[in-house]
Amino acid sequence: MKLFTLGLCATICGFIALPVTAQEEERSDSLASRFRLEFAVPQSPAFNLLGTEPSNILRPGDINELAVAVSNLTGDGLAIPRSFAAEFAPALLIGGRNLTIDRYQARAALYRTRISLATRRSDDASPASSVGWGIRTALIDRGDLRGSEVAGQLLDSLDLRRLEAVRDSIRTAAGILRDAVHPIARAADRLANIIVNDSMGVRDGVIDTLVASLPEADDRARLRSFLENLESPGFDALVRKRIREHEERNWNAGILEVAYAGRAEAADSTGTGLAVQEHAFWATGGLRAGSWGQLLIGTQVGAVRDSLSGDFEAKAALGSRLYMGGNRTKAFVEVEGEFQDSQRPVFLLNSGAEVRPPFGGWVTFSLGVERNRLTRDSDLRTDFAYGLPVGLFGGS
Amino acid sequence: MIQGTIGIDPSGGDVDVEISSGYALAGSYQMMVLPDGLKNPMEGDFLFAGDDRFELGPAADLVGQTVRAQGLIANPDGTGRFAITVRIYQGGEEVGSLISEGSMNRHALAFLIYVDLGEEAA
Repeated sequence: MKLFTLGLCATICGFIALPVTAQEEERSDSLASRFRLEFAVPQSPAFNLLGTEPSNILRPGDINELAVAVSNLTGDGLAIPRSFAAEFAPALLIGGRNLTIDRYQARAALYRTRISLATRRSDDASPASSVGWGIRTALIDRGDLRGSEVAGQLLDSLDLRRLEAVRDSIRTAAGILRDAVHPIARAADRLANIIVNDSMGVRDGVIDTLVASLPEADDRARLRSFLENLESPGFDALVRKRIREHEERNWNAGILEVAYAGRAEAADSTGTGLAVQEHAFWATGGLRAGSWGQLLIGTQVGAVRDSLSGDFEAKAALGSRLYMGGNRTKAFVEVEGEFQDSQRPVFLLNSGAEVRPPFGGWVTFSLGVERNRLTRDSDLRTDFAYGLPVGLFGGS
Repeated sequence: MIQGTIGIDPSGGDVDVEISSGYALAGSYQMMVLPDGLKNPMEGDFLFAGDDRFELGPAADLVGQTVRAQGLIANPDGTGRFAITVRIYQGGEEVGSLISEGSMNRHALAFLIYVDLGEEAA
């Protein structure tokens, strides 16, 4: 916490020393929003390049769901949909059912690869349509929960003997261990699993089945009382605890992510004059700095078609962010430069903090100075955002 | 709980059983043949040994018996998809499988699969 406070103070002091010529002035939103963390690999590159944050993202769970979605999409011909967004991990869709940990670790980058697709119609008045596509993966992710060490720790929580103890209790109480293949033995198994999994809705029905198997009313009453008060072994809480411990220890683990996205535009929804307008490549590496920090270094390079000349212009962004703190609360300092053909470079020095609230997601607030060498102005900029949590596979 | 019947040929080759955990989920399992193998459970982890295969023996001895597979798996990510598959082999060829799959909204899940070995002529 000392480091957190020191980092925040140092950053704020740094800003006070900088010449700020204009505050809270009218600034191009497109510049400000596009500028921030241009070097960071976006969660969904296609959405990023289209400048959209779709509320309804198709995340198919298996190959059949994807096939149905594509079929629905092309049901009315090959028109570009007004609004479509999909994200999936193709290797998991194809081979997820049979994917063991050893196979995953042998080709982890392949299984972490996610594809995003999106379309957007600019507005109701214009038929012009945009199409975006992107791919991203983590070539290195030392914080991956499917690492052998972590998987081994998770196994420690899953002690089968505890499940057996529950099952034995039920069987003993019911006095039904006369024949293991008797239907009632299966009911006892099922009840043990339900107790472990905490599905109370089904539990009552299975208790009824077991209780009804006893001929004596007194035995039935005793068995019902016993079963209804049987405690859950709490596997869920144990595994959750292991996962949290892992997150606390590895929030700053080494990582190397890369991504590519493209954007094309057409004059109408039938694809007339469809032409690629932009390409972008991202690469971000993260290095662990002790237990208290992480240094991120990233770049984005790309090409954007000039609307007047029709030629592609190169652009690049290079940046670095230093995190200080812990998994749930951390301060950051970042520097970033953006370079584009025929334009003067723009630089950003920024700092802020990220806080993980108890209800999930991330709250980020930042304060920074943006320096435009063309206008020779420096803008003070602030940002406050809440981000939803994203799963490891983002819907695989 | 998943249960079903897979046919084996009593005059065919020896029978093997294999268990695997999909979506790279870690976990533990225990299998036994009921009623004969009740005291000799086959145990293991879904960790670098996800395709564990065990010899069950001659088919003629197994017709009418049941393979019970139980275990626990951990869900480390947000999607919660899981798939546990039990495959039966005879003479080295797969003759059938049962799969317990879906999505779990918790961090650990117990599964239970019963495979009744029925008689099926080749």
